[in-house]
Amino acid sequence: MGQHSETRLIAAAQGGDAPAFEKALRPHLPMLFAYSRAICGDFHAAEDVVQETCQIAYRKLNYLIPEADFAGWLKAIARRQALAARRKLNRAAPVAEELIEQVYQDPSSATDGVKGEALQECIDQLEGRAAQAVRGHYFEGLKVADLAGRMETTPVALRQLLHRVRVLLLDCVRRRIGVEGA
Amino acid sequence: MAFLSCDEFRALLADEVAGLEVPERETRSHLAACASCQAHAGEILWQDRVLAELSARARADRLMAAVREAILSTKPVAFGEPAPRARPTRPRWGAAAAAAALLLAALGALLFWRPSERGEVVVHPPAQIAPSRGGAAAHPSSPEERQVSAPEPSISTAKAADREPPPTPGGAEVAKRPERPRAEADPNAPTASGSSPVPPRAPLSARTPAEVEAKPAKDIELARTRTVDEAVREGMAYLRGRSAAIEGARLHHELRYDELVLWTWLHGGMAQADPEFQKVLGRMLDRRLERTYAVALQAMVLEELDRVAWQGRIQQCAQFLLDNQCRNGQWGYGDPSIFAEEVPSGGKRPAPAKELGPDGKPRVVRRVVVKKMRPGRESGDHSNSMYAALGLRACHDAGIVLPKDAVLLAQKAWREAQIRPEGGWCYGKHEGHRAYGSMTAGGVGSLVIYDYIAGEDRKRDREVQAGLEWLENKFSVAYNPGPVEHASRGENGMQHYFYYLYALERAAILYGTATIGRHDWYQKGSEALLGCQRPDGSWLSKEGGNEVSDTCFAVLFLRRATRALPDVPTGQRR
Repeated sequence: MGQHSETRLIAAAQGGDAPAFEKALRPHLPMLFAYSRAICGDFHAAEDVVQETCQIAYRKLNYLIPEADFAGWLKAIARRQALAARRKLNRAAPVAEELIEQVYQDPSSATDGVKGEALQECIDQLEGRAAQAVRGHYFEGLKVADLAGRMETTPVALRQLLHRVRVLLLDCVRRRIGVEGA
Repeated sequence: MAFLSCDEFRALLADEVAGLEVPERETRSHLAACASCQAHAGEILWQDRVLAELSARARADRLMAAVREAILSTKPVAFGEPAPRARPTRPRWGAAAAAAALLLAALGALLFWRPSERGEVVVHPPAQIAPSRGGAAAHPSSPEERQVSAPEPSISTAKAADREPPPTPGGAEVAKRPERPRAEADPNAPTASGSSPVPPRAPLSARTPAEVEAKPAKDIELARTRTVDEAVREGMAYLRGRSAAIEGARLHHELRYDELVLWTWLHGGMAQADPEFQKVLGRMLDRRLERTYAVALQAMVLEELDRVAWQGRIQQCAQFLLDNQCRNGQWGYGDPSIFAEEVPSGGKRPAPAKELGPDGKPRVVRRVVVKKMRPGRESGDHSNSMYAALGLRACHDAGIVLPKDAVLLAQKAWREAQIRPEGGWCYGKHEGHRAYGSMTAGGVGSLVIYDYIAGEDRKRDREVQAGLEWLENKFSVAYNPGPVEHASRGENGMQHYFYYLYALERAAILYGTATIGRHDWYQKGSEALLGCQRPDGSWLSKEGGNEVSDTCFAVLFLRRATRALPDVPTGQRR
């Protein structure tokens, strides 16, 4: 969605058109969820954060000037809500908060672009327990202990497996980008 | 604290990303020190982002349905109503009470609504609408008026009267000064707030600014000796006495007194525990961030109080300032930024910092990256811009990482606006306008600040040198040199005289010089200020002055309130 159509949708939403707000919002939901999850560290809490964020954004919509960065604004609200959610979970602030901000500095989808597509291809190639761990953790939102139970392993072993899969995926992306770039 | 190997750190990072608890201090400390692990962590977090986005994309309909349900029970509030607070969507059964409260708030706000110049609705609580000096309306009538006709704080919109000759020593004004018992003041005595004392100075004579100007400092007769500390004490007593009167009043149609008064009290030696200080501080923290001058001063106050404890609120100030930077790099009066309001402030009573750094100020333990979230207006002015620079310096010192492009743009705006070959600055970039003192001192100070933030050597900055040369050639502590842009007549008037002196103090201290050319700016400036202090302890410019702000500027000058900047060791050339 282009900047102009987003601006038009927001202007319509400011006039009371809730479906226009949904349309403007929809492209940003994946980023919002990922960002909220990165900050609060919990899949289900992140879903709540996204819901709260959108509700607050809708309530405060008239404070948004038309040229403003809508995704950035949503992110700012989500950050606050996610930190509050993290506190409720009795967890200290994320150890790599600054890096999270850097990684999410560009609010447009990270799945696009050469690197994002390379990672998706690498994920598609995962098999067996590696694929099961990624699916359970990222797509079903299972906590490590629950997922370990389902996979009939210990939480420590599952943590190590997830760690190995992440490193594997990084290597895979590097190789793919290297091959395509050659 | 156990030290981690890179492998241990990476395993812990995986746990953190998986939502598990990790030993915070060790992990943070390794991350801060290890560049390769920072790069690795960046990659892992990016990968985590892609995976989570793919997951959300797969569940987009379900997420959207939940959002739809949430907004069904929500109505957007009108601009100008009190900003709604974030509240969780669950439990929902309190929604009726919340809606009733919202309705009451909206009704209350309606009572005070009036259309603003942009067709928006702005709330002005009655206590905040006070007539400015000269009977001008408290609220500007148009954006142009805000941008053009009211250049600096402390200016009355009434036409400036002809400049009267300054009173002579022993003349009417001095003769009327009541005899007051003067306690012996030790200039080296620590202040109540524990801030650095004023360095010892020779007693100064009660001379008018013009007389001080006319004679070299060493030749001045000590007709009636007073010390800087005495003058400051009287100024502070005056400001304290006006405390009730300044509540809710506006110094200028865009600026309240509170921030400037707090900044002055902080440097004038008032204890932070003083109930009056706490009252004004609380009032400042209760208000929205609305205008550039006030927000910049607020950042300065909080940074000075405790830059670690107040880091959240300072970050809000930084966000406001960034969001209000104009497209050409300047600042105007500014508008509230919703992005600043979304930054968690850290509350009104944050825990004090635990550790002090080598400079004796709280050690910044966390750096926070901010970025500009909305485009600003087309252009601003140099008065707001110079205060924005001061505010940004405070933010920078408080660990707020400012975007490089914003700093460079601000720097560029000052450089391009320098009037050549004069070497000074005027209020705005207007064809045919000439440079004058307050803006030139402000320009030098601002460029030096941006050199500092950008890690450049201010001593090699050509525009800074040209500005200092202008200040040397036109040096004066008797008037604001040059043709003040909005003054009704002539050059070298008393318009913004005290505002100019405080700008001069900042330029000299920030640059790091005891003299401007051959002029001992502090010696001469203090003599001038002691000579024109009024019997009630205040200062007031003869042209368009304001007792409170003029007194603040005078005290700040006398206290040398500006904190010096460290030298750039590498001597980078821009």
